[in-house]
Amino acid sequence: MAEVEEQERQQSGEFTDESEEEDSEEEPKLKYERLSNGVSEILQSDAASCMTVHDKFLALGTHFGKVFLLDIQGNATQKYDVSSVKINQISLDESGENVGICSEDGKVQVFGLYTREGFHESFDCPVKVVALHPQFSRSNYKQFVTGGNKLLLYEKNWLNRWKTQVLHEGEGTITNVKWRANLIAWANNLGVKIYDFSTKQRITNVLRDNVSLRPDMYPCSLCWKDDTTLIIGWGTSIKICVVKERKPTEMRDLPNRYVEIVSAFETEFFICGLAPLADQLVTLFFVQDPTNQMDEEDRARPRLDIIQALPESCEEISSDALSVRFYQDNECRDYRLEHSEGESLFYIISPKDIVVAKERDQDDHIDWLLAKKKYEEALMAAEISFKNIKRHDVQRIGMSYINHLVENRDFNAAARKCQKVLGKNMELWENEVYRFKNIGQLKAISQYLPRGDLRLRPAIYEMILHDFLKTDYEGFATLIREWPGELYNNMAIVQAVNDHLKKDPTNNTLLTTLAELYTYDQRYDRALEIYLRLRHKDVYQLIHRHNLFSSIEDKIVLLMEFDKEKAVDMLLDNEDKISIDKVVVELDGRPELLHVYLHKLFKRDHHKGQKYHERQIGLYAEYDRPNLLPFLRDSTHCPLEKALEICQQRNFVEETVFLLSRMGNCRRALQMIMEEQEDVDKAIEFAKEQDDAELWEDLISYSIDKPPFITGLLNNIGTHVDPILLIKRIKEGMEIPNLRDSLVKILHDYNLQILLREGCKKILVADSLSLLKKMHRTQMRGVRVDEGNICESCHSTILPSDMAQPFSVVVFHCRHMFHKECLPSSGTIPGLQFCNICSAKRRGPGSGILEMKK
Amino acid sequence: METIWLYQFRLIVIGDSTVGKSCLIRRFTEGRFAQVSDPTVGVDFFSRLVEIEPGKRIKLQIWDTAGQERFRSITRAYYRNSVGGLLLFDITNRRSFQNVHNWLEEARSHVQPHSIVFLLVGHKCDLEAQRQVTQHEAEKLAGAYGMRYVETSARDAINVEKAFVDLTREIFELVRSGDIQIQDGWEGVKSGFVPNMVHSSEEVTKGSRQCFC
Repeated sequence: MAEVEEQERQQSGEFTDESEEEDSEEEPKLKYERLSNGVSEILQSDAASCMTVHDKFLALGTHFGKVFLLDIQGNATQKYDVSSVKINQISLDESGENVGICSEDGKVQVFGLYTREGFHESFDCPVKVVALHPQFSRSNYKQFVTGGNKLLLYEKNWLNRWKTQVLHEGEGTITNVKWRANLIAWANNLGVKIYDFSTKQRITNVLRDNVSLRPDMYPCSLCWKDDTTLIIGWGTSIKICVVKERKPTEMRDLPNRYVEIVSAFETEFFICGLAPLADQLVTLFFVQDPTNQMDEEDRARPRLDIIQALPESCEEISSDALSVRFYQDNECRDYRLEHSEGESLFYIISPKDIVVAKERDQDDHIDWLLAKKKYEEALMAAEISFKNIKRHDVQRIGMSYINHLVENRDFNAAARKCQKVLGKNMELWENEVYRFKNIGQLKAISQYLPRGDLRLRPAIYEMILHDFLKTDYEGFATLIREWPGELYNNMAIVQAVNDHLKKDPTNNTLLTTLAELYTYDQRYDRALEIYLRLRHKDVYQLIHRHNLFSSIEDKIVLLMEFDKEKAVDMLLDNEDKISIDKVVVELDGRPELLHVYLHKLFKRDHHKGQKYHERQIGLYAEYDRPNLLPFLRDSTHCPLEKALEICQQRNFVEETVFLLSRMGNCRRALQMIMEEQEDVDKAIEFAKEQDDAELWEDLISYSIDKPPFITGLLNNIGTHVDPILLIKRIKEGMEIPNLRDSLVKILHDYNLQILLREGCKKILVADSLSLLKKMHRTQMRGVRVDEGNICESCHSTILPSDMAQPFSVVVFHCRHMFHKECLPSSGTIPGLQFCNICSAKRRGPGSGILEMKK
Repeated sequence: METIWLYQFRLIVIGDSTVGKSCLIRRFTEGRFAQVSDPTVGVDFFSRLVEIEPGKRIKLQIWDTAGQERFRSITRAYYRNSVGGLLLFDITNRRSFQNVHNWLEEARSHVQPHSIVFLLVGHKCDLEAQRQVTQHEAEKLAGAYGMRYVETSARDAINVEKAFVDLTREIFELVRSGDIQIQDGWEGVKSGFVPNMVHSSEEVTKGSRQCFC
């Protein structure tokens, strides 16, 4: 028993290496499995002659005339004794409830698998083919064809009797038939024909190519790829035929469908079976070396190829040689290829062996990748289709990938993969870490250790930190910086760092790291101390983040010295925590630092440090004159006298001028501009700003003996002071540069002003005119007088109740209406009458409308 | 459609390859002779009616076997279901005559406990010039096995009818005498239809045939 099993295993093992080129880098497309169980038993004493595949079961016919129904594992579920000799064909309808069987001794049986009722007939010649209507289970499609030396159509008529019709005869034995939808394709010794059931016409005849081959030795393979595509394989030639509808214009008396051969090509070997696989073809080949064709002992293994059909050739996608049992004994006609439409399953039937070819699934793909050591791709494939893989597991593949990388000493890549592969599995992580420790590669894995939600035991992290501390301070520092402080025991690491510092007390890296460690441990004072000692820029961040302001009060000078800008920013940002007063006191001894601080403070807020503004004047004067004037301008709190004193002491003219003018001493200021600065433009500017006639007078008096000043004045004062005043005072004989140009400019300015005024006048007149016209138009409009109106004087309706009576009404443009009688009698001149109301209010005409609108 | 017959006999034709089994059968069933023909593969069968007495027709189902058969075991089914057989040798090929014994042994081993009524046929008797087996020794051998002997030629249509009809008569006599009986599950002899037996019990079991008559 054990022996048998062993044998079985060996035999099925043969199928693992079908590919002829075993080292090929090409992945096989199909995988093979021997159909065993009941089938093995049957084929030990009998031999398979044909098989038909249904989605749910298989129907196997044998040389001893039996038909077995098999489940897809190959267990026989049903046996029919049909004949004593070879079963030639089994046909199942789509429902799988009806079967047609024909045998070599001319028997044809068509019956329901469940009802066992049906049709039995014996012919006087071998019957090679039978095909049921695909919808045979439906009562109106009780039709089948069978073929010995003629193709007969059986149809159940309305009396429930079988009626026959010869579809074709006279060209020898019918060797194959395939019924699909409305089309029946069959082959005889001369060619393949298609009968269109819908029109009851034969629509094509595809002749056999190589007539030198015996049709009974190299039978025709037929296969419908879909309802209109027939694939014909015969000898070494494949033809793909498509049934097409004929255009109505070309119809005449031709059948309305025709067949076009879309592809025809030769193959290397003899075809024993065909099946479609997506847009490709699966072909079973009988391989025969043409040189020793007659030597039957030396037959080769059959081959299952996937080919891509091209119009005139084909491309081999894959090719597997199959070691079917006793392949040496088989001839081309002994093989069959059947396929299941639903799944991509291909059955290779040979007399003593049935092999199932399946499309390789993702698991098989991964198997192959792993065998080829293509771990990366295997992992990717597994991740993409992790839902569909059954045998494999992403993590296991990942682990073997890591092992593989470690074996190849690619530790970094291995460590990087750990992150992805180990995920949140703590146990695996720790195992990996210990493995890396054992091979001395802890550093490689360190940066990939989990530090987020998943945490390993602190000992693991400490182990790595110790490892780094021994060899690589920088790496150690990086880890400390990157790892959250809670990953490891701070005290232990601090202790270790301190130990190392004893040997190397000034090591910057270690000190910085130590400071970071202290920070994690919230011992900020120590951290701060180290940072300040190292003048490390992180100090501000540290203070800020941990709110260490109380501990830096006495270190302000130190901080300022280290980095003024940052220190000041920090101090100002946290003004609420360290008061300005405090800072000022601290910086008292360092006026230059104090200035930086106060200056920034002033820039942020003009009012906050107001009590220090006085002091700032001196500080600005001392350290930062350019900012003095802006300060004086913007500050509202600095005492002007004090400022003036400082500026005068230091002889800061500009600032003094500003202060003088601010204090109202404009003449003195002007004088300073003119005397100290001798800047006429500035003086004029100043005078313009103040716009004081006295100042102008001063300016002119001062300038009158200075020709360049006069030029400046002439050029500029036209809009403020009458230049005549100036010109008149110019002394005779005085030489003034550019006088002519200045005069021309003045005149030109005048001219311009006059033009402007005239323009304005014109606009005014035009406006008045248009308004007048508008008013006139308004007044020309009619005035409606109706029952709603009242006399403004007597307040009764303006229209009398009896319209027959003559009456008089006066309507003014202001829309006030009066009975004529109610108005005071007009003067002597008729029409010269005014509205009482409006004249009382001194209003113009039309204002009554506005009043009414209100 | 089917001609009415009394019995159906299944006959098997055996013998070495190239002795002319297929040609003999074709001459008998189709009346044709092909100068060239492919070797038979597997098993083929043909049928013909013979009238052994006026009105008594027998349907013959004649199985042509390949002289070289790969699945010898498969052929067993054909032997077992045959009632009679023609054992052919080629008179121009001595070796085929020597093999007659082997063929008989093979047939007997397969068909027990049944037996087959064999007729020894010396074929290709038109090729008298190349004869290697004398009529005398052939008749002697046939007598030893209790067979009759006849010499035939498919090409010249000599004795073809006689060979088949003689064998059929012999079997018919055995059936009539009860030495050979119709059995269920054995297809060697089957009873057919006789016009006046339309409503026999046989008819009921094979009801479906009725519609073709």
